[in-house]
Amino acid sequence: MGLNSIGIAAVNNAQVALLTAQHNIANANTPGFNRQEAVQTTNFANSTGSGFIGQGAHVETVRRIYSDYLGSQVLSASSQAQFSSSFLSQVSQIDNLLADTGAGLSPALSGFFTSVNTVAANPTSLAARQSLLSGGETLVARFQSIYTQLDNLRNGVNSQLQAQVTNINSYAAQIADLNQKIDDAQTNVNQAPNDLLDQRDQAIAKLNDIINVSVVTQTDGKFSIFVGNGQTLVIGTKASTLSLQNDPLDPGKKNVNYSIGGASVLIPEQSLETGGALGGLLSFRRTSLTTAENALGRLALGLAQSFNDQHVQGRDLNGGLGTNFFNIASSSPLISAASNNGGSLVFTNTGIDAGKLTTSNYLVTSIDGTSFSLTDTITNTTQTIADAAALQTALGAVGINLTIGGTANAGDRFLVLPTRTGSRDISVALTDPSKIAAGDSPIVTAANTTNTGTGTITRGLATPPADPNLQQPVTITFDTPATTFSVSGTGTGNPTAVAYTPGANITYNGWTIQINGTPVAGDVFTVSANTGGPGDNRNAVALAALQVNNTLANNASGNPTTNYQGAYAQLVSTVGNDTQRIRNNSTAQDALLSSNIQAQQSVSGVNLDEEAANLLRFQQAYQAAAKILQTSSTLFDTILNLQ
Amino acid sequence: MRISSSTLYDLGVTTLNNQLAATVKTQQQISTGKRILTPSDDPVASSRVVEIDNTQNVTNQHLENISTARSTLNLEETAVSNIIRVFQNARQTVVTAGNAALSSADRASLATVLRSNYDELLGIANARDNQGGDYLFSGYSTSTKPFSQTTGPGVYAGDSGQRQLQITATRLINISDTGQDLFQPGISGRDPFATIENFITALGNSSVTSQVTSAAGVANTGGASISVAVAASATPPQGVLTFTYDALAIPPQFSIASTNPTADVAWDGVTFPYTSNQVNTINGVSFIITDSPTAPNNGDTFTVQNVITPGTNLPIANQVSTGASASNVGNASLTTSVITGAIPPQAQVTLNYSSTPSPQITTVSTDPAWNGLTIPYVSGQTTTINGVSFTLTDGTTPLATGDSYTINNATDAALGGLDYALNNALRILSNIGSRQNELDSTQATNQDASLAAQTALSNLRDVDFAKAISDLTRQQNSLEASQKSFLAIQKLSLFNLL
Repeated sequence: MGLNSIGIAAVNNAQVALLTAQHNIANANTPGFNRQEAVQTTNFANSTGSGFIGQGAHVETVRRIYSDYLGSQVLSASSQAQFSSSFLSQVSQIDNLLADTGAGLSPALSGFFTSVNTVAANPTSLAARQSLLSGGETLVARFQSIYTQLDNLRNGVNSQLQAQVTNINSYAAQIADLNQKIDDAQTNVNQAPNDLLDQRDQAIAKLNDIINVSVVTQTDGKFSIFVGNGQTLVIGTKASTLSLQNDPLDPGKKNVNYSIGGASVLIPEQSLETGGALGGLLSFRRTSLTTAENALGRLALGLAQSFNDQHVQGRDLNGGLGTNFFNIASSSPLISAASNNGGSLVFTNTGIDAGKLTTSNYLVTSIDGTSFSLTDTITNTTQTIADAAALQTALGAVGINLTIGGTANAGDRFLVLPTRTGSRDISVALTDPSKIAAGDSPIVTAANTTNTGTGTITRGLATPPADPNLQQPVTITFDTPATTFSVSGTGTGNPTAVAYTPGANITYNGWTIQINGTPVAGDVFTVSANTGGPGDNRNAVALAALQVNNTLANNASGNPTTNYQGAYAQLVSTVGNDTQRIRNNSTAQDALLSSNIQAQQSVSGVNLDEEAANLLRFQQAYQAAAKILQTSSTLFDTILNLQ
Repeated sequence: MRISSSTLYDLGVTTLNNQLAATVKTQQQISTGKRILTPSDDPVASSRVVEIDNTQNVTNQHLENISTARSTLNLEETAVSNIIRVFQNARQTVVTAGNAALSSADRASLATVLRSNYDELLGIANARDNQGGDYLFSGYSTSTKPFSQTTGPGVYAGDSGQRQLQITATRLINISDTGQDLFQPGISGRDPFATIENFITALGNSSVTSQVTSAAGVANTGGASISVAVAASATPPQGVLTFTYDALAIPPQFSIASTNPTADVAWDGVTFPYTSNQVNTINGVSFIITDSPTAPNNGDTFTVQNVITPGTNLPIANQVSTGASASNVGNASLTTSVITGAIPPQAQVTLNYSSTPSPQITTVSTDPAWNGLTIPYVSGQTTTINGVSFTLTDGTTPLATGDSYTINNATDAALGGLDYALNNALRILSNIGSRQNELDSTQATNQDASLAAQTALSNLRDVDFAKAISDLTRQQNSLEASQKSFLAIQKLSLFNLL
C-alpha cells in the first residue's frame, strides 16, 4: 500500500511545513530568532523491473537558516557600537557640565578677578574687600561642585561596572546551562535543537554587548567563551565568575577580577577595552575622566598657590604681612600606598610649585628597597631613580615638594596623584577683609628731608627668604666722604664703611633697595616698617594681573606658558574633542551595525509576507496530500468491491 | 534582496529617531541663540570662546579702572586749580603790602587776608576724595592728614607713594600726587606755607620787641662801663646816641649827641656831670656809667641805641628774610636784626662760605651796597651793613665750602617763594591734564578692542538664524515625510489580503 503510506507521509510533511511556518510567524518578533524551514528529501525509490518507483518524501530536518559569518559580523559590530555608546554617554556628561555657562568655571573665575580689581581701585573700602572674600568663596565652591560631579561620575562608573559584572556572570551561567541542555537534546534525538541554539546565540550576543568575547566551538559542539586576554569564562558546561575588587593602589577605583581556584586575579584593564559597554566604561575612566579631573585639579592648585605666592608679598590694611589667601589641604597631592606594602616608606607633603604641575599620575615602585622606578601613567614613560633623595628631586621637578622618610621593601608601590583632588582641597583661608594684602611691600623707605645731596632711595621689596627682622627700622648714613655708608638697625649687624655704588642692590633683613644719585656726607636714608598707607594698592594690582599673566604649565626652560583661563580653555577643548571623536565613532559604528544586521536579517529574518505565501503553499500541499489519501481509499474500496 | 519584517520596522524607526534628534538640536540652537550647545559641537571654537571671554573681561576691568582714575584725577585737578588761585591771591596781597605808605592798621588787615589764604591752602591740601574717606595728597597713607600745622612751614605727614591703576595690560597710570611733590614742605624758598607765614610775620602784629643796648666805644682808653634800663612807658631814642666824656670840664661831664637830633630832642645836646654809679633817666630810659674796673679817660665814648627786631614799627620795605640753600652741608643758622632807618638789600644777597684761603664769607648781589664783600668768618660774629645786621652761627655740622645763605628783603622773598610754588602747581596741573588725555585715548583703544572681541565671540558662538531656521524647516519636512512613508509601507501586508 505504497499509496497510503506516501499519502500519510505527504500529509505529515505538509503538516510539519505548516507548523514551521506558523512557528516562524509566531516568532517574527522574538529577538535572536533565526527562521526555520522544514527540509524535505525524497525517500529511496523502489527499484523494479520497470524502473525506480519513487516512494514519496520525508522531512529530513527542520533547519535553522543561519549564517555563521554574518552572525559573527553582527557580534563584532555590536560590541564596538556598545563600546562607543557607553563611552559617549559618560563623556557627554562632562561635556554638558563644561558647556553650562552659568554653572561652568569661567564666570566664577571672571567674577573673582573682577572683585580683585575692585579692591585695587578702592583699597581702603571694606565693602570691596568683603566682596573679594565672597568672590573667592564662590570660586572655591564652583571648583568643588565640578569636582563633586566628576567624582560622582567616577562612582557611577564603579556601580555600573558592578551591574555589568553581575550580568556577565548571569549570562555566563546561562550559556553554560544552555550548553548542557543542547548537549542533552542532541544526544537524544540527533537533530539540532534550533530554538536552544538560538537562545544560546542570543545569550552570547548579549554577553558580547557587555564584554568583548571570543567564541570557540569545541569538538563536541559546545561553545567556550574567552574574555580579556585569554581568561575562560565558560568552558563546556562550567561557568567561571568575574568580580569587582578594590584597586590596591588607587583609592575609590574598582577593577574587574577573575575568580580562579578561590582567589581573584586582576584582568589587565587594557585587554578589556577592546569592545563592549564594560570596555567603554573602563576606557572612559582611564582616559577622559582622569584627564578632566587632573586638569581641573591642576588649575585649582595652580591658582591657589600662585595667588598665595603673590599675596604673601603684600601688606594688609593694618600694616601686617600678608598671609595665605587660599588654603590647600595637606591631602593634595594625594599619595597612596598599596595595601600590601611591607616597608615603612612615608611621604609628607610640604608644598607645591604651581608652574611645574602636570596633568599626569605617577607610579613609584621600589625596585630593590633603595632605587625606584617612576612611571608616568598617562604617557607610559618610566625612569629609574637611584635613591630616596633623587626621588624627592624627581617629584619636585613635577611640582610636588615633599619629604621622604623610612625605607621601602622591594616591590612596594605608591601611586602619586598630584592633582586629582586639587579642586576639592582648596578653600579660602581669610575671613577678615582687612587681612587682604592689597598694599605692596611691608617696608617703607624715605630720604631724610634734611638731606642735602641728590641721593634717592627706591621703594624696596621684601625678598625671600622671609626674615623676622624685616620690619625693624634701619638707618643708612653716608660717611665723609660720601663713597661709603654705615648701616645701623637690629638684624643688620651694623656694618660700617660699606662701599656705595649708585643703583646697586642693598639687602638686609630680607629686603632689597637701591640708592641712586649722589648723596653727600651725613645724608641719611631710612628703611622702616610700612605701618601706614592703607591707600597702597600695588599688591592688589599685581594680584589682578594674575588673570592674564602666565603662571601654569612650565615649558622645558621653566617658563610658564598659559594662564588660568588658558588652562581651562585647554580642558574644554580636550573634552570637546574627545566627545566629538567618540560621537563620530558611535555614529559610524551604529551605521555599520545597522547594515550588518540588515545583511544578517536578510538571510535569517522572518518576512511575514513570505510566511503568508508559505502558509498558502503548504495548505495546498496538505490539501493535495489529503486528496492522495482519498484516492488511496477509493482505490481500496474499488478492490474490495470486486466480486 | 530579501528584507525581513523586523528590518522594515527597525530601519523606519531608526531613521525617524535620527531625524527627530537633528530637528530637536536645531530647535535648541534657535531657542538659545547659540551655535555651540556643548564643547563637542566645535571644540576648537569652544576653547577660543573661553579665551576671548577672558580677554573681554580684562578689557572691561581696564575700562572700569579708567573711569575710576578719571574721577580721581578730576577731583585732583579741581584741588590744584584752587591752589593756584590761592597762590595768585596771596601774590596780589604781597604786592599790595609792598606799598610803603600803608599804616600799621592796613598792614594788620593784609596780614589777616594772608592768614585766611594760608588756612584756605591748608584746607585744600588736606582735601579728601568723593567718598569722604581718603586724603588726596597723602600718598599711600590715605587715612593720615597730610598737613596738620595751623601756622608755620609745612610739615608733611604722608608718604611718597603715588597710587596707580592698570588701564591696559602694560600701562599703570598714576592717579594721585603727593603733598611732598606739590608743596615741597620744609624747603625754604619753595614751601608756600613757610613763605606766607614768613610774610605774615613780617607784617605781623607781634608786640614791640625793642631793646635799648649800650656799648663802650672801641677806642676807649679808660675802663668804665655803661648799662641801661628801660621803663615800661619809656620812649627810646630813635637815633644812635653817643656819650662823650669830657674829663677836662669842671665838673667832668658827659655830653650826648644823637644821629637823629630832630626826633631825639630830649637827648641831643644834653650834658650831665659824671658820678660813678649814678642813675640818670631821660624819657624813661635810665643809664648808669660806672668806674668798673677803672674810671673813664678823656674822650672815651659810649653808644646807646634802640635795636628793633622786625616788627610792626618798621615798614615792610625794611624787613628782611633769610634763606639757606637746599644743598648746604653745614647746618649753621643765619639770624638778622634791623634798626630803625635800616635799608634792606634791594635784591637777593647770596652769602657764600669758603674755607680757603681762610674761613670767609663772600657776598653776591645785584644791590651794589651788598655786592662783592669779603668778611672773615667767625661763628656768631655780627656784621652790619646799612643797619641790617646778620649773624651766622655754626650748628652741629660745620660749614663746608660752597654752602650758601640768602638775605633778601621780605617782599622779594615772598614773591619769589610764591612764584616757585605757583610754577610747581602749574607743572602738576599740566601733568594731570596729560594723564587725562591719556585716559581718553586709552579708553577709546580699549573700547575698540572690546568691540572687536565681541564681534569675534559672536562669529564663533552665535547661531546664524537664517540658516538655522531654514534647516529647521527642511528637517521638519523630512521628518513628516518619513513618518508618512513609514505608515504607508507598514500597512502593506499579505495578511491584510488573505
